[in-house]
Amino acid sequence: MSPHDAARALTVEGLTVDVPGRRVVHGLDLTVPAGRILALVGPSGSGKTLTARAIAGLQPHGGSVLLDGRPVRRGRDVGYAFQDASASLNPTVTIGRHLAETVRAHRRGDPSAALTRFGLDPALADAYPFELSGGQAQRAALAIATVHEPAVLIADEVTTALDPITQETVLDLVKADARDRTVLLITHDLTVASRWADDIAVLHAGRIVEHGPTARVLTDPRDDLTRALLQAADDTRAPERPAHITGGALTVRNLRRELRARRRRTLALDGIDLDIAPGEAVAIVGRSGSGKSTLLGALAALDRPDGGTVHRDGRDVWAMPGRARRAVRRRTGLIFQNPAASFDPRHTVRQVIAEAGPYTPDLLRYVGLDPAMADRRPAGLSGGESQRVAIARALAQDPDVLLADEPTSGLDVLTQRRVLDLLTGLRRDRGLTIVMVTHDLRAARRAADRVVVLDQGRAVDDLPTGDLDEARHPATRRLLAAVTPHRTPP
Amino acid sequence: MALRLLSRLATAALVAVALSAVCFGLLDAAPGDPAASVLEARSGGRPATPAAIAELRAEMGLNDAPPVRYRRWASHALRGDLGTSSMSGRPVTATLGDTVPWTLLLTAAAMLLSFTAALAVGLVAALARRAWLRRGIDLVLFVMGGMPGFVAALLLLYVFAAATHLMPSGGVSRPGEPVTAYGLLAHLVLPACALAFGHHFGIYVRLVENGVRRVKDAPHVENARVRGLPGRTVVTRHLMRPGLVPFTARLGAGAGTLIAGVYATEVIFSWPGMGREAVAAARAQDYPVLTAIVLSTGLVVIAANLVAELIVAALDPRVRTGLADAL
Repeated sequence: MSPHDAARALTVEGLTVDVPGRRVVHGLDLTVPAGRILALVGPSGSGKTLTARAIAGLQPHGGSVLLDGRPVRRGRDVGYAFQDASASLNPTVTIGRHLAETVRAHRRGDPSAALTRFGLDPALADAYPFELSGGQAQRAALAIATVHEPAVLIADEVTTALDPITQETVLDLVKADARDRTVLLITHDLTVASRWADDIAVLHAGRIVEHGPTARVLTDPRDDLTRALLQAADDTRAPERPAHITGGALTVRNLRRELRARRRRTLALDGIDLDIAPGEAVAIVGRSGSGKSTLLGALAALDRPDGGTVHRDGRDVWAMPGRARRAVRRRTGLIFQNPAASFDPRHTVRQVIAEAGPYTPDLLRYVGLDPAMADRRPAGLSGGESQRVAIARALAQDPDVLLADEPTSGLDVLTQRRVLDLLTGLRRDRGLTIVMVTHDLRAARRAADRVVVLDQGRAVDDLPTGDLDEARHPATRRLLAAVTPHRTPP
Repeated sequence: MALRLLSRLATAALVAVALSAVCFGLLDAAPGDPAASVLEARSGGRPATPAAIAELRAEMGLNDAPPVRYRRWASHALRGDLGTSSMSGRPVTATLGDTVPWTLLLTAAAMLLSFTAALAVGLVAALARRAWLRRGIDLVLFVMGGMPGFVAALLLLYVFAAATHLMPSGGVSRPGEPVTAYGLLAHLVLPACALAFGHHFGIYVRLVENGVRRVKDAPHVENARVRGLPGRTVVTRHLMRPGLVPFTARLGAGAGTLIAGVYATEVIFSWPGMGREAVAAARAQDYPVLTAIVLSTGLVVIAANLVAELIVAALDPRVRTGLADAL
């Protein structure tokens, strides 16, 4: 590194951030040289995002943030890519207009080059944000954040909502872009950090507890939190089998479902055959748009397929009378990706649970929550707590099948592990049948006996979780490759 | 886009046809025999013989089936012949020609006043940091919301004309004097204000306020700030453009409400428009005039809705694609 490069660095000294009533970030010191990627890793609530916002000038703070020894200029020196890309773009304005207004404000930058840099066709400038897929929207947001060539790019959980293959594409592009920039990668996922970051800083309760080159942090962690995060990332213990089985059986034959949105038609399910035995835990994995959630809707007897049959305990759910079908639905617990959105904000936790079945304090105890929480409202709950309440609600209706749609996406790794432990414990103790849709292979390994891989509406692989690494189908191999950490030997 | 526009125009035309059919129905169902009235008018008030009436009925085609008569009426209407006033004997179109421009002037002024004021007050209410300012706006809107338009009109009349003589109390010029631009403006202020700030005004303020407040903390506004865009761009493009969609979507219906208020306002302020004419025609049971006024009011509302829809489509691309899919 030449002396010139050494001078080009982002330096944070004694950074403090207060929210009303308390201090969240306690005197942070950090130096990131140009051309390097630093991953700021930590569980939810550790102050990662507030630190990033303070650096970008979005948050009032104490201490100093310097670039090459002078204070950063807000809007000029730091580009910021938000977690939810499509919400971070104005729905009434094209991508091209977003790029052009930034270029005009700073009198530098080239919109087409920015789009190309992030692997997008410059013709996409004419598109509106809502016309893009999740991966395209995130890449467009990154192009918009960097079009005026800021010295620093902050990528704040940019891939949390993306499937692993899209995540790989996006982060590879960020890494390529980092050649002439300082990149701050905010993430709760050490696997992401290990593959794409040069350095890792672990944040815990507003303090940096560990900071060093990626290889060193991974092989020789010095803090307990780092060890816990590493363990959670590596934990692939197979789930325990239930002692006695009470769950229901699901059989799907030649299932077809066409989705008609506006004038587009998509074949979401294209002839799926699937047998799920009582007490089995099955993970359905695949990329976004592979038909996972549509399949789950069909299994729940909520969404009527265009062809094929869904059998529950040997009976065709669409051939039975409506009353019997509603009884089947009552025996099916549903857990959603965004539990908070599935709660009525005016209800208390007790009312949320009671809408599914009789409330007892034991339900909350079982999911690891304090029964005193029953009178709180969902708005005050954390992501992990919300998901536990959702599970308690599903249990209140005494189901024999539990269907979960991405139950852990959006949660940090430690919370993810607790929710998955809860699901596997539930099956062990109650013998329920569990079907979980996820794009996270780690979650699949952790909670399922069997993995079904969907690709473009077809089940391309169906194998025991233990054999996942020997899978042959290209779609499965692609998913596996996207989450394999590239560890540099120490 | 041209295709979408055409489809909207076609819908508007269809609504206009339906409206004209209803108007014709009203006219047809009105009591009294047009043939008898015509004969009465010709003979200077003497009642006509049944034979003469029957003869004229046949001549006027009044014995034909309703669809035939509707077609004849509509084709006359399209050529600018809406019949004659049974009160004055003048062609109805001449009466409309005298009164409609005054009403259009008044409603245009009131709309401009109402919508720009709602925009300004709504933006202040959404973005003001001072709590007393927001509460003050709330209070004023609350009082205005409880006040029917004619009460507001009488109050304005009392305060600014009767008690203080600051403003002329009615008409379009001083009695006996010709209409001048300045005099017209002075006479326009009170009725336009009465029409603009009726009980519906608060709804528009709320639509602006809530729309803007909802996007104020949206990630895309924060994103615009963090990219260092000038404050003006952030407010106009990233806050107002998506934030004003609910407000503009309501403008069409708002124009309708406003035009409905024109009848009482014109009577109170002696404004020589079609609202006052309509009230007079209703008293005199002058159905041809009344029907023509209902028809032209309806056409203005249809046009206003069309314009409002186009404004929304220009603001929000999601509506544009929705329009395309509706085809």
